[in-house]
Amino acid sequence: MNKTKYDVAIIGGGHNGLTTACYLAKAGLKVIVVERHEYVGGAAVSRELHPGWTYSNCSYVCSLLRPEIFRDLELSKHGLQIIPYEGSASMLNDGRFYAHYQDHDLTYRSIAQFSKKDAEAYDRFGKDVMRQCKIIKPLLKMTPPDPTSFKPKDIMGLFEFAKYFAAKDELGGLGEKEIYDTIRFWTMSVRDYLEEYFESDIVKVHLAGSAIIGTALGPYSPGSAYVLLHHYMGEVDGTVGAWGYSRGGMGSITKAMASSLKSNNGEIKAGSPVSQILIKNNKSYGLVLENGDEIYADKIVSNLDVKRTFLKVVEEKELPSDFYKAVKNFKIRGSSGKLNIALDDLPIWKSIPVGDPAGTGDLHITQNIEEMEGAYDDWKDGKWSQFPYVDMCIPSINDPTMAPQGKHYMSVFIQYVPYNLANGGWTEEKRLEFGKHVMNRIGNYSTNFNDIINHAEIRTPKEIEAEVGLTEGNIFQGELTMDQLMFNRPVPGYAQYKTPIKNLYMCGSSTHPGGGVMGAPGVNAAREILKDLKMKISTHYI
Amino acid sequence: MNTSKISYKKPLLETPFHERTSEHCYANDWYRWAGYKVAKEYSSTELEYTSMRNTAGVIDITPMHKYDIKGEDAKKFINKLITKDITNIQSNQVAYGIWCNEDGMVIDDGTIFCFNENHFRIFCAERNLNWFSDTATGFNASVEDISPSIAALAFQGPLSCKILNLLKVENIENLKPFHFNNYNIENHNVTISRTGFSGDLGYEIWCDPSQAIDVWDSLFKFNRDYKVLAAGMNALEMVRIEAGFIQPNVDFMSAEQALRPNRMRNPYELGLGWLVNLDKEYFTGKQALIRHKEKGPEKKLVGLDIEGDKPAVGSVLYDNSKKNQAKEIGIVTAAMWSPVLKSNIAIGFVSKEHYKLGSNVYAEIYHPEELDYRKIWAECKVVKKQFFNNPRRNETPAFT
Amino acid sequence: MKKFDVIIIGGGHNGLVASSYLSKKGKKVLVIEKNENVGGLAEYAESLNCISPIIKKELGINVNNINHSNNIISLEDNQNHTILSDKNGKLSFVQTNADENDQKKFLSIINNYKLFSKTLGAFMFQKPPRVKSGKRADLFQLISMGWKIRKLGKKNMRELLRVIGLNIADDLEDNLNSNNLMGLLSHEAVLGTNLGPRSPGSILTLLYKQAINDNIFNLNKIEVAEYINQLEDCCNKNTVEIIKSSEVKKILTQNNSVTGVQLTNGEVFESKYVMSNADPKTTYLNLLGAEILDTDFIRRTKNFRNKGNVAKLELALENEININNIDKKMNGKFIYAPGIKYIEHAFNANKYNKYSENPCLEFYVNQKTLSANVYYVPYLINTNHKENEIIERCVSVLSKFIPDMKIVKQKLITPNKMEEKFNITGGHWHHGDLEIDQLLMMRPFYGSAQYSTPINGLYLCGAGTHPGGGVTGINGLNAAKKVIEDLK
Ligand SMILES: Cc1cc2nc3c(=O)[nH]c(=O)nc-3n(C[C@H](O)[C@H](O)[C@H](O)COP(=O)(O)OP(=O)(O)OC[C@H]3O[C@@H](n4cnc5c(N)ncnc54)[C@H](O)[C@@H]3O)c2cc1C
Ligand SMILES: Cc1cc2nc3c(=O)[nH]c(=O)nc-3n(C[C@H](O)[C@H](O)[C@H](O)COP(=O)(O)OP(=O)(O)OC[C@H]3O[C@@H](n4cnc5c(N)ncnc54)[C@H](O)[C@@H]3O)c2cc1C
Repeated sequence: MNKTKYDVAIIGGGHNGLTTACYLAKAGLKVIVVERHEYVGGAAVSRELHPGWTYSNCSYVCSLLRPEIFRDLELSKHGLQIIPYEGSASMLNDGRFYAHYQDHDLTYRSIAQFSKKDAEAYDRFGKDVMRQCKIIKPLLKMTPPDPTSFKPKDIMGLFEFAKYFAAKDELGGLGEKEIYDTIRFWTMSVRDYLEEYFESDIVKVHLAGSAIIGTALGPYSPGSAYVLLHHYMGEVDGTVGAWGYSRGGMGSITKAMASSLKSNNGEIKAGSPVSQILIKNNKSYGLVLENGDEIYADKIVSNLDVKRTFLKVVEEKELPSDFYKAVKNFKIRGSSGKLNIALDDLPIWKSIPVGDPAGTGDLHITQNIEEMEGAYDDWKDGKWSQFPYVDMCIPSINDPTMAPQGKHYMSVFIQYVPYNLANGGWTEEKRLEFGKHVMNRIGNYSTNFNDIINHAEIRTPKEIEAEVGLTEGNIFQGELTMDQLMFNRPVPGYAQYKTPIKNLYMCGSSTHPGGGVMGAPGVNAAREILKDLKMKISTHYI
Repeated sequence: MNTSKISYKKPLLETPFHERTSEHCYANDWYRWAGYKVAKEYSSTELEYTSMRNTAGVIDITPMHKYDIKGEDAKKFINKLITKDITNIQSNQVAYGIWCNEDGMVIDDGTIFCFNENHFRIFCAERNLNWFSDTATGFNASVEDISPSIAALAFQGPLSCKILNLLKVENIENLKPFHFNNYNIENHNVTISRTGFSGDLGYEIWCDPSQAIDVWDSLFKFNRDYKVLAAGMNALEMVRIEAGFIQPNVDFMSAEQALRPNRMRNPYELGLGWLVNLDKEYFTGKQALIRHKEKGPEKKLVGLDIEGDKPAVGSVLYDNSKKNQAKEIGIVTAAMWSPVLKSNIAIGFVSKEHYKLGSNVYAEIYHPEELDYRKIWAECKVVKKQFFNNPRRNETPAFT
Repeated sequence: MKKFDVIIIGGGHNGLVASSYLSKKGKKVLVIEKNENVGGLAEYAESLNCISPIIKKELGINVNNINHSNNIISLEDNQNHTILSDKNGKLSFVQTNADENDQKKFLSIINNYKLFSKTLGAFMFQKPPRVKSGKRADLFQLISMGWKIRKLGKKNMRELLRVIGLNIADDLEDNLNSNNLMGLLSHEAVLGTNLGPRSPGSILTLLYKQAINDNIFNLNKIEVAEYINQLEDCCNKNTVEIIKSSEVKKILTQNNSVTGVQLTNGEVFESKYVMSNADPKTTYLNLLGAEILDTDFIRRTKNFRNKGNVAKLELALENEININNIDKKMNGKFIYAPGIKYIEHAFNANKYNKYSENPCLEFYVNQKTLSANVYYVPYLINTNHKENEIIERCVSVLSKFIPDMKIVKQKLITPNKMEEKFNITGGHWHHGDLEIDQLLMMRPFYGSAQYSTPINGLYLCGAGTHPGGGVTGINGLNAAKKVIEDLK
C-alpha cells in the first residue's frame, strides 16, 4: 500500500500525461504518473519487437511537438533530437514519380512535369495554408473559451479568439476576405479546396493525404481541409509544415520527457493499470490499481481518451446523465492500421532512383483523389480498403539507430482500416490477410520489396486499441471534426480540461487541440490545474 | 523504368549561355534565379558595374519569365491585365506596365512587346501563368509560358549601340526607346529591343537558345578596343537602384505572394501612379484604385539621399534628428553607395507626413566595421527615385 | 429603344416576386424570360409550404393547399412502410415498425431541430450581414444574430454549436435504431445537396431548409402552377411587362455601370438597374462576361460549386397507381430512402460522376401519374447519362411497391436538361451547393453577397443568393428591397 499522498496523480504516461506531469513537477508539486505498461509513451514509443530493430510502432514522424515544450522541459538535455527529412513522393503507375523536396526549385520542376500551372499554384496554396497556420498557432496554446458562458475569462477568451478577426486590416488583422477564407478552410472538403488551386490528379492526391490521416473522413467530406492544417501547423526548427524523425524512434520523445520529469522529482509508476478513480461527494481523491493498491492525490489527471476515462475508470453513477451521454456519443472511430517492417535491404522503387532524396521522406502510391475516396467508401462499409492510402517511410535511412547496419526499418501507415470488420469481425487470419494485402500493394511499386521482408508487425485498430488503449484505435483520441474541435472538444461545456468531477482533469489528445504528438493538450491542462492552485505555469511560449 | 526528367543531382538549370558565363565567372559565385544559375559576381562587381556606366555590360537575363499572348482579343486582354491604357500601341512597340489584384495591390511589373494586334509577349520577374490564365477567362486569347524557348541578354551601356553597329546590325541606331525589331547579328536572327534597367542607353537581345553562344561571342568580338564585361546580379542590382527601378519581393511583396495582407502595396504607394489610367474602361483593380487614389497613400516608396557614405541597408527610418525623440516612419528596401553619383542613395518607404520631396528623415545605419557594428544616425533627404537618368537613354539616333 | 426602371433577367418565381414588388413601388419593370412560360425551376417543385408569408401579404398572393392528406410515407422493401401524418406541423405516427422508444426519440429529435431552425430562421428572411464591412448596420445585425443564439440557453446553444458541423448519420445513429426512420430524416437532409448522410454539414442543411420551410418534411402541397399564375397576374396588374421566349444574351455596361440588356435577337432594352434571376455563374461568366470582372472575382465565380444531382422523373401508367400495403385513400409524399447505408451508397456514385444504381426517390402519385425527384443523378460536363438506364433503375425500385407497372409515358429530366432549358449552370436545385462556405454572407461568394455585384446597378435575385433555393421568394424580395434602397 502506497502511503504517500501526492499533489497530483496522472493516469497514463502518454506524451501528454508526461508533459502535464513535467510542468506540474517543475512548479514544485509532488507528482506521480501511473502507467499501465512497463514502459511509458503511449502512442509515442520505440519498441524492439524484432531483435535488432527498433520500431516506432505507433506514431512515426514528428512535427507537431510544440517547440516551447521542447525548450521548457529541456528535452535536448534529456536526449531528444529531431532529424528533419527531405520531402515526400507519390509513385505513379506509369513509372513516373511526383515529389516534394526541401529545395523549392526542385519541387517546382517536379510538379511542372505534370502541370506548370500547378507548380506555380503550389506557392499560392502554400501561402494560403501558411496564413491559416498563423491563425491557428495562438489557438493551440489557449484554453478554448466557452461561448455559452458569461464569465469574464470566457468573454476575454472569446475576445482573444476574435482578435485576429477584429484587428484593423492595416494592423495585420484579417480582412473580410481573409475571414471568409478562414471559414472556408475550416469547413470545406479537402478535395474542393484543392480543386481551387490544382488541375493535376497526382498533385491533388499527394496533398490530400495529410487531410485524411487518422480520420473517419474521405477527401470529399466537408471538414477534411481542416485536417490538412492539423498536419501542417507543426514545425521543425521554425520551418512550418516540416516533418522529422525523432532520433531513436518516437519513444525518444517520451523517454526524454520521463527523464525530465524525474529530474524534477516526479515519480513514474509503470506496470500499474488503473482500474478506478476514487470519488466521494463528487470529488476525486485517488486511484485504485488493478492489483488493488490505492494511490491518493489532491488532483487526478487522466491522459486516457475521454471514453476510456469516463466509461471505464469512472463509474456511471458519478456522472451527470447529459455528460455521460455526450461521452458515449463522442466520435472516436478507428480508421488506421500500421505495418512495422524489418527489411534486410533498402527497397528499390521502380520509379524513384536510388539516392534521390525524394525516396528518403514519406512515400505514397495513391493515384488520384477518386481512388482515395474509394478507399474511404470501403471503410464505411466495414472493409479494409482495397486500394488503401499508405504513408510509408524508412526512418533508418536518416536515423542509424533504428536497424542493424545495412538493414532497414520501414513504417507503413494505412488508411483505411475499420475497427469493426463487417462479415464476422477480425480474426487472426484476417489480420494477416490484411497485412499481406498491403504488402502486395507496396510490392507492385518495387523490384525487391517482397524479397527483403524480414519481419512484419501488422496492426489493425484492434491492436492499436489493445496496446495503447486508444478507444477503437482512433489515433487522435477522438475524431477531428467541427463538432469535436475547440470548445466542442471533447464535449461541449467541458473543453477546459476540467470534468464534472471536482479535482479530476483531462490532459490527453481527446482535449483541445487534439491528437498527434503535440503536447499542447498536456501544457494547457497543466496551466489550468496550476491556475486552480493559484500558481503560474513557467513557459517560453513561442 | 524511370522516365522522369528531373534529376536531383543537377538541381539548378543552366541557361543556354552557361558555357560562357561559367568561363567568365572566376568568382564562381552564383545566384539562383527562377531555378536557373546566373552569375552573382564574375570577378569584380565594381568593374562589372563600371562597364555598364562606361562601355557596355552583358547580363544573362534568360531566367526572366516570358509569356506569349495570342488571339483575337490579345490586346483587350492586355488592357484588362495592366493598369495603363495600351489601346494606341503600335506593332514593334514596348509598353511598361504593372498589374494589380482586385484590391488594387501590385502583383508584378513587366515589359509588354506588341508584335501585332493579335500577338503580345510579356516579360516579367515573377511567375504569372495562373494569374494570366485566369485573367484571360472570357477572352479569345491564349496564354503560353514560353520561358525556356528564348535566350536573353541585356546589353547595357553607352557603347552598346556602337558595338552593335560594328557588328553590322543594320539601322540599330534608329531603334527608338521602348521599341523592338528583328535584326541580324552575324547571320543570326535576333530580336532586339531598346529597353533595360540601367537608366542609360541599352538593349535587350532575344534569340533562340541554339544561337545563344554565337550571339554572346559576337558581343565580345571587339573587346580589344572596347572592353565589354559580363556583368552579374550584384552589378545589375546597383544600376537598377540608380535608375530607380523597383523589384517585386525586394522592394514590396507581390500581392499574389504576400502572406500578410498588410504587406501588399498599391501603385500609388510605390510611386507608380503614373502607370494607372483610371479613365480606361476596365481593368482588374480599377474600382479599388479609384478609392486608393482618393484616399492618397499612407506611405510611399521614395528615393533617399543620405549623408555620409555608409549604405543604409535594411535601415529603419525615423522622423527626428534626435534619436531619443524619434518615431519610426519607414524602412529602407534597397541601398547603396553610388559610384557614378558619388552619393549615398537608397529606396525606401516613408509615411505620409514625410514623403514629400525635400523632406528630411533619419536613418539608423548599422555599419559593419571589422566584426563590429557602428551605429550611425544619418540625415536623409527625400528625392525622386530616379537617381540616374542619362539623356543618352532617350536619344534617337542612339549615341554611337 | 425602350427604357425601364428595372429589367429582370429570368421569370423564375424569384424574378416574378422581385418584379411584382418593384412595380408595386411604382417602378417600370421589364421581365425577360427565355422560356415560353414563366416560373423557371419551380415547375419541378412539388411540395411547397415555404412561400414566405411576407410575400403572400405584400403581394396579395392567396394560394390554398390542395386537399391532400398530409402524410409522409416512407417505403420499406419488406412492405412494412412507416406512415407519419402532419397536422399543422404536429407529427404523429400512423403506422410504423419502429418501436415506441424510437418513435418518441424520432419526434424529439425533430423538435430539437425545430428549435434550432427557429433560431436560424430569424436570419433567413433578412439580407445577410457582412463581416467587417465597417458598416454599423452589419455589425448590429451580427451582434443580434449572436444574441439570438445565446438566447437558446446554455444547453441548447451548446448542442446547436455541436450539431452545426456534424453529419446527420451520426446524430441519428446515436439516438435511433430504426433504419427506416433514420433513412427518412437523412433523406430530408441530403435531398438537393451534394452531401450524403455521412457528410459533415448534413444536419446544417436540414436545419437550414427547415428554417426556410418552417416544416421539416416540407409537405404542404400547393399548386405551383397556380402560385406562378398568381405571381404573373400580380405582375400584369401592376403593369410589369413580361416578354417570353426571349433570351438575354448580354448585360450591357459602361464604366462599371449597367446600361441595359441585349437579347439574342439583337434587341436592346435600356435600364440603369438590372436584376438577374439566373445563377451566379451564368450571370457573371456568360451574361456579363468575365472580361469586365476582376481576376480574383473570376476565380471565386469559377470556384462556386453548383453540380446538380436531382433529376425529375415523370411517369404515366396505364392503370391507376396503387402502392402495396398502402390504403388507396392514403396519399401524401412517398419516400424511398430505406436507411443511411442505402442513401450513402447512392451518394457514393455521385462522387464519381455516376448515377446511383440504386437511387433514392421522393414522389407523389396522382391517379395514373407519378412524378418523382430522383437522386443522385449528377450533372455531367461534356457528356450525358444514358437516361433510359436511369429510368430503368427507378422503375425497378418502384415496381417493388407498384405491382404490374405498365408504363405509357416516361420522361426523365436530368440536371443537364435543366441547365439546357433554364440556363442554370449545373442544373442545381439551389443554383449552388448549400454548404457552410456558400451560405449567408458567403453566398454566393465574397464580393457578391447581399444581392449586389461588383457592377453598379446589377443585382442577383435568384436561388444562388441568400437564403438559397426552394420556392420561398425571399431572394427576390430581399433583392428588390435592396434595389429600392439604392434607387433612392
Ligand atoms: C498508428 C499511429 C500512428 C500515428 N502517427 C503519428 C505521427 O506520425 N505523428 C504524430 O504526430 N502523431 C501520430 N499519431 C498520433 C499520436 O501518436 C497520438 O495522438 C498521441 O501519441 C496521443 O498521445 P496522448 O498522450 O494524448 O495519449 P496516449 O499516447 O494514448 O497515452 C495514453 C497512455 O495511457 C496509458 N493507459 C491507458 N489505460 C490505462 C490505465 N487504465 N491505467 C494506466 N495507464 C493507462 C496508455 O498505456 C498510454 O501510455 C499516431 C497514432 C497512431 C496510433
Ligand atoms: C427537380 C427539382 C425539384 C424541386 N422541388 C422543390 C420542391 O419540392 N420544393 C421547393 O421548395 N423547391 C424545389 N426545388 C427548388 C426550386 O424549384 C428552385 O430552387 C427555385 O425554383 C429556383 O427559383 P429561382 O427563381 O431562383 O430560379 P429559376 O427558377 O431557375 O429561374 C431562373 C429563370 O431565369 C431564366 N433565364 C435564365 N437565363 C436567362 C436568360 N439569359 N434570358 C432569359 N431568361 C433566362 C430561366 O429560364 C428561368 O426561368 C426543386 C428543384 C428541382 C430542380
